[in-house]
Amino acid sequence: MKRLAANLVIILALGLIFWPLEFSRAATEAEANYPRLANYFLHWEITDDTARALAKWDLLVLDMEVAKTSPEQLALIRSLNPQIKILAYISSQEIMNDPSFLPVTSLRHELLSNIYPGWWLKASDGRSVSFWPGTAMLNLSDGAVSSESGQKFNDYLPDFVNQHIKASGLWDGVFYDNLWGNICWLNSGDLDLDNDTARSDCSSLNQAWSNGVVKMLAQSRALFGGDFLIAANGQFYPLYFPYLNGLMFEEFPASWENNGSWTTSASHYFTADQQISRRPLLNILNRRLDGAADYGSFRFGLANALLADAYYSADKGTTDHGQTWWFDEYDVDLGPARSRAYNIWNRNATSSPGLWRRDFANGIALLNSSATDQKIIFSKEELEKIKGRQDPKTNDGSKLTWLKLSPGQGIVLLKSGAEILNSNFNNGNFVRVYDERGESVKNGFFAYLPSFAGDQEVISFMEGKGNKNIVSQGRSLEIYQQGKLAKAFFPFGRTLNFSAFTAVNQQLVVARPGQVRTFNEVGKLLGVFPIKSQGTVSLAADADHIAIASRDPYIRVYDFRGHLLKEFLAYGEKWTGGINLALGDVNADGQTEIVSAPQAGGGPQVRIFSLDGRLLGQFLAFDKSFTKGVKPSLTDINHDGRLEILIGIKNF
Amino acid sequence: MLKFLRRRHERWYRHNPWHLVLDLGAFLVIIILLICFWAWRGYRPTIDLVSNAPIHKTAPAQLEFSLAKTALKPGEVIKLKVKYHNQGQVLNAINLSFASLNEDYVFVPAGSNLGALGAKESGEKEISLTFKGPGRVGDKINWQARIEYQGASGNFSDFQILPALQIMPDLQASAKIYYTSPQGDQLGAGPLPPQVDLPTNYWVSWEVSGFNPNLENFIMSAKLPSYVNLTDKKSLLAGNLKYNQAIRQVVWALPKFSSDTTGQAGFEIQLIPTLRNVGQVLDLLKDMKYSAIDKVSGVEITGTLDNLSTDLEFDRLNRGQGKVAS
Repeated sequence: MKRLAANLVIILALGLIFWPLEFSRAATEAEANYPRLANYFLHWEITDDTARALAKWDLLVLDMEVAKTSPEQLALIRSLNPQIKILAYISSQEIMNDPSFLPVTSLRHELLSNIYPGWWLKASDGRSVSFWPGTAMLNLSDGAVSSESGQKFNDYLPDFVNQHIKASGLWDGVFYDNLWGNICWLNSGDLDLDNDTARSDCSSLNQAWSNGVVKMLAQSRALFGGDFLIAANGQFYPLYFPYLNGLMFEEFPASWENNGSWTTSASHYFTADQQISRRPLLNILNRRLDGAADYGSFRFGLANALLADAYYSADKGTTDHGQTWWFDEYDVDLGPARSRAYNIWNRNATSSPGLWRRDFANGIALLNSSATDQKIIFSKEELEKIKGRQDPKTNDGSKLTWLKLSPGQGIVLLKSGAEILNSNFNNGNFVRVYDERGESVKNGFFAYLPSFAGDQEVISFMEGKGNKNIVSQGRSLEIYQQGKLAKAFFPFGRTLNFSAFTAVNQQLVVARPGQVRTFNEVGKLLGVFPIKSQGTVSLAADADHIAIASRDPYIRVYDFRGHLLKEFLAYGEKWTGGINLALGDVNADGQTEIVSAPQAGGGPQVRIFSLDGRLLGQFLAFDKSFTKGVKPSLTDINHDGRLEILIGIKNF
Repeated sequence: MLKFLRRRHERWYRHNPWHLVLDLGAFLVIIILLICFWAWRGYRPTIDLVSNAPIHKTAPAQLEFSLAKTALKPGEVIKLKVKYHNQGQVLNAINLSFASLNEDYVFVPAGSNLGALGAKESGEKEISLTFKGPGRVGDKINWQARIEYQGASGNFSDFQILPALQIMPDLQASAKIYYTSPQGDQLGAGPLPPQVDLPTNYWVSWEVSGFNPNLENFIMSAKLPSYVNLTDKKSLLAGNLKYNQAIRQVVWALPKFSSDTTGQAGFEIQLIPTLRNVGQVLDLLKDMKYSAIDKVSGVEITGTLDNLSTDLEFDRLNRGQGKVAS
């Protein structure tokens, strides 16, 4: 019995140790939304403006010198984006060898000053070898001469990173550049790794080099621990994968990989995606663009990145990694992945050229890696193009039933189906989608839930795997959980009608002329307070405020205890047709705004007010001659993290 | 009888012949009275609220009136059919005038002319007219036709009671197909004009108006041609929409409604034309019809709508882009 109890304790203890880790990994992977964005920004200094721009990415690879030159900017980035991951760039095999170019306070100066002479990579004639102009190669293999302290360069480099990068606390990880799996191609193979002044054979060179890299990575991991991230750029070399969180695919498909063969690069990318098991996975797919307006190339790169789980980076490539180009597609949230990448014409293909696709919760990524035009028909799917500003010829927001992609074209498409969450709407209404400036950001659509009657007022919330819907049904409110009626009650009794309702923070707010009542979700009365109103009432609420309008042109803002906080004129003094309302932060300023629109008889003039009644903006949601009444709803319909203003009408 | 007359002769006539004259006079009076009685029994007036028989059996022509439908919506045209047969000589004209027996209503035009009729000539004519009045749903309009025959030997007039009219709710249904809404929103998708083997989606908008509490069980339906399919997209402001795959029929039903019901239904259809459709304008919805039951009269109100095609007759922005391209 004691033994059984002891075993149980051990199992429980192991469970407690490992379960949270596994759970957090699973949660991280499950919650990953796409596209995931990386910026490979290698300038040694960054300004405040650049920092603000860089804060929009999910993953940054910044030169290690930034910690010295721009620590405030690093802090600014983190304050603007606490979730961001920032890796310190360092070359794994070379350094600028002219100290006059290196400020004495720079990390490179520090690195260079401790380079032992026997660590430089030499040719058989004893001359230094260089891979990149202005730099000299270091010998990563164990053939390098040991320093007085017994270190080789492959010992020193992890030590340096640990002491000067990890220890600074400014970085989430390190990015080793030029992490090659072989070396024989360099300097025509004339390399002397073991300092015997003789040229080694190619196979020995490669073996010694990769062994040295493995040693360096193993020591890095041992020194840094499991949480400090390690990513690398260089060659595809699976022996390094156990130590890495990810690999960069620079200038994908890189010219140095089988002459830019898509199949080779894609195969490496997919393999790295599958075989690098450390989490978080930080593969980066970088695409070289000819400029900020090289949209076609940009889209092809993005679509490639989306075929697996890489972060996407687009810039000028190897000659200048240092742009903050922001593209329309970056504002799209495709949501979590819903499939792996697949070749549409050959599902079993692993990386053969063709029409490739991957599905996401909110859209799809498509690319044509073949040499011929490819056509795809979406007869059973509702998809539409992004509505972008940069390249409206392609991203015109149109709905599609088919698409032709030329060789080397890629595209991101959004699912057309949309659901209004957390805001009241009338079932079956046609809604247009605007941002706070009144610009259309998505195609209009019919907001319709087939399980509820047409024209019924509904508010829906996402709860777990299903939805909760609250609908008005005559004098009662009905609450449905995943399609089943969970509760129905009469907010003002069986004999009195109510004019309007909404729900926020598990509270129901219901109003009729002269009075507001609040309930919990099982219909228990929480509060009652009188309101100023003339005739039928409309309302909207956030967690702290209830906005009320009635037949007069005023909007009144109350708190949940019934205190009138503000009363202001929203439309002309003579307007008596009623005002529809919605509440939410539509301009992402962290404050709630009131969105109003006239009911039948008025024009479609949408107005945005602050809670204290300041007019922040206004626009016509439909033609000015439309006077049948418009109703605002607020929801993040295009998954960009901001509330859009949806204006509904019964008929167009 | 002879014995009776012999006794009367023995007793009265041979004494005074005036008794014979008196009896004969009394007999004649009785005969005349009997004739009068039978004539009265056999008398039939020519104006009879029940019978459509002519006022006078000597009316020179026979006229029969009939209506295609007696249940009418306000403003709906009355189609009155007249069958005529001239029984006698040439008639110069037959003039008809219509009069309501309900003071609130008049007919426009108030009359019509059948023109000259040759001897023994027969034929029929359809007269279109409307009624003017309050048009209250449920009102019943009794009316009659006054007929004036103008013959060579003089004029003759006659009357006929016409079948009563019932005012029905002004139920109106419409069907439109859009690729782009009147406000400029893209509702459809795919190539326009449609292309062979590629799907083009269209949005169908059905509307019904003129609801009345007396109406129930509204149904509107249409059939989809073989090259058209229903997608999953729909949006209803009232009722329910079903699709009978076997007969390719879409049915929109509103079992009950009130005067403030917004009678709208929308759904998406998808056309995938084939090579043999190239150059053709294709029907997208066919056999469209609607009906509702008037609870008061029990009458079924019905209507039909024209087929709708890829030419998008109601889509101002894409009208005429219906011919299938290769």
